[in-house]
Amino acid sequence: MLKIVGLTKKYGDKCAVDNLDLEIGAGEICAFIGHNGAGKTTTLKACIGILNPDEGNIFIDGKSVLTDPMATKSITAYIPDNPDLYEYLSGIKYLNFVADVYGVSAEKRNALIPELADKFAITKDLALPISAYSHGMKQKLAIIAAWLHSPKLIIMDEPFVGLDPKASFILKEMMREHCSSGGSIFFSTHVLDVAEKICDKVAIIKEGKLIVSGRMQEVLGDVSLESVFLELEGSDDDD
Amino acid sequence: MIKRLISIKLISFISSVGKKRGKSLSAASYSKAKLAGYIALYLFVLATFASLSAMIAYTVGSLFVPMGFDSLYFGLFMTAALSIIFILSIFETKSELFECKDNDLLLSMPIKPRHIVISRIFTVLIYNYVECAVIMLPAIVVYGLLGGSVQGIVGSVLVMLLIPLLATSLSAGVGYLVALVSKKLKRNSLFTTAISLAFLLAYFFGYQSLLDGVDSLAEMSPEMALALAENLGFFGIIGSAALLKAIPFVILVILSVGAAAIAYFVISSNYISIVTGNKGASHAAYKAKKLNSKTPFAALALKEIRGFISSSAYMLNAGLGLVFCVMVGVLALINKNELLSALPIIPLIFTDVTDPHAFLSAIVPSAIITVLSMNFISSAALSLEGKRLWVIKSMPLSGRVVLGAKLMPHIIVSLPVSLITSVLFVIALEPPVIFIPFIVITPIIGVIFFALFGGVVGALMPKFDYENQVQVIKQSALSFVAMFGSMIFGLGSVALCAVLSMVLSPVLASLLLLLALIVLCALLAYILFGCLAKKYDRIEA
Repeated sequence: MLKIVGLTKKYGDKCAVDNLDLEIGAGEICAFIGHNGAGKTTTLKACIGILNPDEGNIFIDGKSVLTDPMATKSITAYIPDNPDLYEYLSGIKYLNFVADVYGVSAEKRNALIPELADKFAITKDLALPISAYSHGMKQKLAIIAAWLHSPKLIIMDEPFVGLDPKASFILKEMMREHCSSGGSIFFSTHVLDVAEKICDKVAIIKEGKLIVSGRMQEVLGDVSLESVFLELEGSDDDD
Repeated sequence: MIKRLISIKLISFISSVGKKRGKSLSAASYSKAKLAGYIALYLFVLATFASLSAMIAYTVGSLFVPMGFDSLYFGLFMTAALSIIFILSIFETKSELFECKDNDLLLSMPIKPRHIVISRIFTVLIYNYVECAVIMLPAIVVYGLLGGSVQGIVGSVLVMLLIPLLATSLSAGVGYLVALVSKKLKRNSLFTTAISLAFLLAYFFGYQSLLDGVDSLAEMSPEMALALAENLGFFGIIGSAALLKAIPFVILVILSVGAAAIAYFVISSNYISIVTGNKGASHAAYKAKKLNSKTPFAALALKEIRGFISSSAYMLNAGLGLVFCVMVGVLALINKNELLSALPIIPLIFTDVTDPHAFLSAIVPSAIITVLSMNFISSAALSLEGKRLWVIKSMPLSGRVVLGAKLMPHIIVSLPVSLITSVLFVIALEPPVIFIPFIVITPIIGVIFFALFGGVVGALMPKFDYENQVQVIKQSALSFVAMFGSMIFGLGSVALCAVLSMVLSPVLASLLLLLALIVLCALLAYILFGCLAKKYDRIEA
């Protein structure tokens, strides 16, 4: 579903992502782990096509993000780490706007929006302007918007930040359901327990370089993800 | 702490000139040439306004100063400066004080609210001093050249220092009241806009009454007129204060400093409650309604229109020309008889004009275009995406669709206004039938031209980093380029049309203007939907 080939992105002299290769298959959830500033957000943004790589290419469902961005964006959804939304729109108008852009049918949106809004318990707030929403409510709205057009690939940047425990649980459930139906998810997180429990794959990035990637059980062996991560993170320091 | 807050605001203010996102002012990428270009642009804008002020000052001054009506002269200019600065800074002050994105951050720090208030007001005050200087300095220079007294020059300079303080205090006070009331309203942007427009209309009618009063004074004996003028309430005080008359000057100082102190204490003591209060949100629970689908373009265009009408700063800065446009049309209709009876004067001024009715009919479309040029709604549209740019960039929307939708608010709100104004002019002027299509169609094409021009400027120099919308809509390089480019084009089209009407014929001049506009629209559309759409596709969010 997602294939990253030799991705390199530089900001001036600093190489944020250095020759990164990664592949995520259909029906897989991949956690992207790394310390702050390691290059996770840059990689995710490049995958969605809102950041231009200096080198390399990214393929979604066989189509290049660089040469066929409309095709890849129409089957992808993105949730950033800080969902800045249109504060002058109400929640329902924002969702309807997203549904319009992705060509979601009237029947589907009329069924799906109430269902998802009920799940996240924000139905009664949908008439409010987004300016009145808390961070968590905006995050919930961004999640509903991402699920509206049934994307094949969902890219999320620390999606659990700001969510209440119930909403986190529901999101995890939705992630599993999405992958059961053949979709894929690529998300960054600092919540290693969650990553360990729900992900099929894990990729660890350090200073722009992918230091480990593979199926969760192969990477972990007999230890926890936290142990693996801390060991890898400290490996250079030990040297 | 105040110094640090002010320096942060100043850096932000300077960076609003046109710094690229993510780069510091000292970054090498912010080239000296670009900085020089921006400075030249601002100087050009200031010089244009100053020249306009000097022209008006000379016209008024050459009549009043030799007659010894110095206090009337200064009264008129000072009152105009005070009113303009006050009205134009209401929403800016409200925005700076209560709507900055870093309010919560600053309030969470050990900073006294009054220090935040001072730092917020400071940049507005600087801006108002610049505006006041642009209006008043040419008037003072003209006064000196016309043989005005040294006392008048010194006094007017001192009063010039008080006017921005008074205007800023008044606008802060009104901004505070508007914020207080709008907290409880659902559509608070429309409320703010209505309040500002009410002040603007009051200013125009008030100033018109003042000019009528001055006309009446001119018919009296100089002694009686002066005595009456100096007793015309605030107008009299401000005019006499400029001549350093002790009591009016002291009253003005007390008014200015007093208003500043009251505004400062009232706003400081209620700052936290306003900034942290709810934003007029309705608490009514959502009731499910059937949602209809639209095309992506229609959805984007609707989003843009909602963005426009949700922001009073956006409507009042970039769409004020719409009000002027209708006002011009209504005035033409009200003064229909005077307009038609003035036609014989035209050949006396332009000796090459043989048919003044046809000449004026040919000029009207470009005159409407000039008033329409005061709208530059599309220029800020892309930049106002700001931190939300990721939303549309992550969607399957091409640059053409996005940039096309950004033009829609300008076109949709300007077209009816253009049409109404044209019809009003047709009724008022009773032009020969052949000119009616030009009077109706040419301004419509003008609306499309200005929408495209704004779109091109906005896509050429987008500014996504801002603390409040005013920095993009009013203070950025893109807004200056869009506003003055449009106005220069409007005025140029009037001049060109007048010349062509005399050299060729009024009908041919009208036709050529229409054709030129169509060609220019095609050219701008080619640039916007061609290379600039590709540039948009490469923008990183």
